[in-house]
Amino acid sequence: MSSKRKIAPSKLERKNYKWIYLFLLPSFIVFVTFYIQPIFTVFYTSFTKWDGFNKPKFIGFTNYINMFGNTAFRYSLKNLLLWSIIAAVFHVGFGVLVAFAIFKKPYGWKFTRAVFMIPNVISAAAWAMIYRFMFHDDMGMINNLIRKFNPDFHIQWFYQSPFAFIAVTLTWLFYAVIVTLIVLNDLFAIPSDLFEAARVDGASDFQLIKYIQLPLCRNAIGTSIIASITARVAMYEQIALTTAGGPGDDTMNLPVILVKSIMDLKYGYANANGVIMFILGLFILWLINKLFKMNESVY
Amino acid sequence: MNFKNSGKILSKVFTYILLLFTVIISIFPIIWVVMSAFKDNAMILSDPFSLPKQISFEPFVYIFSKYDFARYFVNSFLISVSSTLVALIIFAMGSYVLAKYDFPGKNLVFILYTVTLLVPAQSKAQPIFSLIMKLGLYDNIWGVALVYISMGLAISTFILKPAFMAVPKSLDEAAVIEGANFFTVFWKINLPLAKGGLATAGILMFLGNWNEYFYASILTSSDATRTLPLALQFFTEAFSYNYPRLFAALTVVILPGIVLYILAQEQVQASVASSGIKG
Amino acid sequence: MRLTKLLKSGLALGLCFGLAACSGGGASSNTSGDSSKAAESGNSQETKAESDGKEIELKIPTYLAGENVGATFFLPQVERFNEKYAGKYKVVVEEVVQDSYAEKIKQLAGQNKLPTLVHSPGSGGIDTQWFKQVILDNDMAYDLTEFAKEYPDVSASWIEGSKEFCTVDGKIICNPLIVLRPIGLYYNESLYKPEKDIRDMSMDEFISGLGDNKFAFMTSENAWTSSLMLAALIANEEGGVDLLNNNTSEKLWDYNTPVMVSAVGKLQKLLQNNASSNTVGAAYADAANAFMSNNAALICNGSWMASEFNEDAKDKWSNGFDGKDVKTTIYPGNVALANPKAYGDFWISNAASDEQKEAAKAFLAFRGSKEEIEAYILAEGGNAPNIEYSDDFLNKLKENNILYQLDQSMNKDTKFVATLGDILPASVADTEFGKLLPKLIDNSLTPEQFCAELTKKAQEAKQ
Repeated sequence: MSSKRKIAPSKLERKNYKWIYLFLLPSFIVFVTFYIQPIFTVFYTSFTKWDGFNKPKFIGFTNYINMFGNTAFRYSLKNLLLWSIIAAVFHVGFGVLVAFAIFKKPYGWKFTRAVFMIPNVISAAAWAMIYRFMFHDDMGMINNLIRKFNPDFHIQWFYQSPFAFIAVTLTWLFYAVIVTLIVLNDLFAIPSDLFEAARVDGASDFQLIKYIQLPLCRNAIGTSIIASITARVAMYEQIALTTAGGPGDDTMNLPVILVKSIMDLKYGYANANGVIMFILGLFILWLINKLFKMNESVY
Repeated sequence: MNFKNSGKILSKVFTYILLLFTVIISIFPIIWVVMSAFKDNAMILSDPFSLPKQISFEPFVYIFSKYDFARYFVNSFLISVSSTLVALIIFAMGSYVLAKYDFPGKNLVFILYTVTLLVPAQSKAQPIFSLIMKLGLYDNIWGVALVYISMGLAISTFILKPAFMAVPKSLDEAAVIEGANFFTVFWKINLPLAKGGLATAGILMFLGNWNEYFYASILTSSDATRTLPLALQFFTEAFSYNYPRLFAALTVVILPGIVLYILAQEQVQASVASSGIKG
Repeated sequence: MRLTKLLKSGLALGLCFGLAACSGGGASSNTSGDSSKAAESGNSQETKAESDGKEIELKIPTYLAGENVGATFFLPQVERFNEKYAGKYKVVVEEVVQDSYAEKIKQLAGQNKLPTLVHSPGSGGIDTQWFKQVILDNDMAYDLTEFAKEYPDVSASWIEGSKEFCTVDGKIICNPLIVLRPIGLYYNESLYKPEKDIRDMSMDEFISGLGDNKFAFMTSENAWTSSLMLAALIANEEGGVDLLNNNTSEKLWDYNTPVMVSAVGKLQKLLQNNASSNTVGAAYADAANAFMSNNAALICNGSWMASEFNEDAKDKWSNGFDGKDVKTTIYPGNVALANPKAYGDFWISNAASDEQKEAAKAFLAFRGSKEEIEAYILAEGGNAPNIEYSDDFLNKLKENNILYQLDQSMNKDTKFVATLGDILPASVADTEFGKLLPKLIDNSLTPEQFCAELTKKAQEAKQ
């Protein structure tokens, strides 16, 4: 019995390699066709002066040096840091909270789950526009509501410091349905006998959450954090269609700089920005993977 | 006992406040937009809360008489559904082997797939545009669909890999002992058991494709290939001074997605929610 | 099992929608790239086209379509052209969102697949810098010198300054302007009655006479209405006219000059004392609404806004606003904003086939004919200095009160100056200027600091 077991896997593994690479092939073709060249171009041209058409001219690290000297870039890094923390703690936290609330299946849980999805059904562009109108001083709901209590209230949310940062944050802060769905998925996957066993041992709701549900949702939460922080790195519409990075550079971020540089025909500089986004993303991936031990199966 | 009860009530109250808050922030903005579409300019500006006094369909009549929304809807639908289905199968296969098997280059492939999330759309524009041109798919909805297949690579790998990891290996082994081959193990055992993840990844990819604007705008040119997000863009620049029409256009563009979602959500949520996985 | 069910129902749903859409309204859900629009509209002409068998079809991707303000004139013009040249040429308009027009042209240029007719730099987001570096340096624009000889009537109407500007290395690389559309300002006479014609006032006289009247300024988007006022302020400074007019080609990169600082200082005062309450954060829509709801007495804008004050645009008016009260004139110090040193309206791609070029030239010539130019001025305003107007046209112009007023407000001493959009680098004009304005309004930046910040942004754009 035992000897048979030792031989079987190795045979299986070898036989499997064919299958494994066959399975990997289609997605790898997608990767090669759509991503290899852009990644290569981004890295290579970030060391050049390039107008996007004529031959790039090699200029070493000049783009990077210029970038770190620019105020917009420094503001972007500061904003990104703040937004990442807000995303990881409050955005993901809110999504997890809603997931736990829904998991208990209170009255109306299905409705809530369905409705929570709706803002994500709409494009980021449309949503940004809706928010611009919601925060509009004359016709927006927010200010008109506040004016019912304080008639002299006038704030141009997207255009005054420090409100612009807050308003941009509010366009995404609570819309964490993806987090909720991913976490719910893992919650529902927890074997029910685990709960029953814990209940028999007299565990409270809080203990259940702390010792069973949260640890077993580790992967889901890690995934959510990665997804939500990388979404902050790549956030574009929410800013471009509301504040455009203003007032001044208050709500600047890397993609806004990138698009602006392209507008100025500075493709090399734009791609140096892209490289920084890339490196930041890799760092976040690595960090969250380590923190949440995401490569190990939870069971 | 008393303490425990009040704690329970408190947690109940908190739960419902949370749910109520979630519902309000999710649908109130949309109700407001739809409501505003039926008002006139002056009412939108002076009294944003009131219900429309006399319902005016003028903005909608105008929009529908000038634009072929049925076509835009069909285009969006065909592009999104086809690209999502193809992408789901391709990425499920990839994520499955990444989740379940050890092989040389595994970590590298995983890292490469996930970093694709970080390549800015503007940097990809040039190579993708030239590819579509070479394939002769410019101004063709299948060209757009082809590009959309690639979009979900990172996010679906994120979601599908853990989903397959959650399927117990013991089930695979049992099936192998019973004589199932590699493909059968994937198709008959893992795929059904990972349907929650598949549904989530599918929804996310569908929504991404449904709402995508940038590539649709550079890869198409005629009215026949226009998608809904493109149509919205035509309105926003044009009607920017005419709020009722702008709100009507917003309504017309966002409602099909919402209706589609409501129609499909029973199935979607059911498959996400089904807890029989470990059954 | 459930999954396959899900997929099946998804497909079924798709089919349902597909069928519903097909049966309803007969909109073919045609999936091939062929423009079925062309097929539909081509039906009526099919017989003609077949009879001589060589109608040349010219596709023009343009933002002057759909809801764009320019479409109201451009689309009927295309129809008139198609009618006149039925069987010979046929222009097919492909509607492009203004925001993505430039990006699309850039991509098509990269593949050497430019459309035959392309909008000129300075319009549709096409960047002047890009045009020089990519199109001119690689000889991708067709030389219109032959065209000028072929159609002497048209080339005789070209504005001299524009023709010079479009001539690079002896080649005419863009179709020069025939019509200049000077930008002035509108004021609401029920709120603000100037003591004399604003044109004849000095800037200080004008500002002190404003009283409590408000301008519909903006700070969002490209802060268009505010930037026009700044240009007028600069033109009224010592040496300001030269500053604006001598930098259209190479752009202006340094704003730390006394002229700029002084003009910005005056703009700051105006923004603080004479700006409508919604100025901070106002997009063009907000500014227009402020004016058309009696919340602002003045707005700086071009002649194309005139149609908003016609009776048939009434649904946009509110709060007792009446279009009849609106008067128009140019800026104090006899200044009007217009830049003849511009790249005109269209250029032709060198890579196009001879047939396509021929059709494009015919279209440009048609647009440049006297009748079309007059029709254009009646629709969008402006004047054509080298065209002898017909009496019929002059009578019609008088009927259109506002456009006539603007036309009459200019005399031979009027100074024409370029706008900020013509002299600032693209990203500074389009975003940075507006983004810094709120900081000027709330005094977190002095005029000197504002100019220094703007200079920094321009330098960064140059790096």
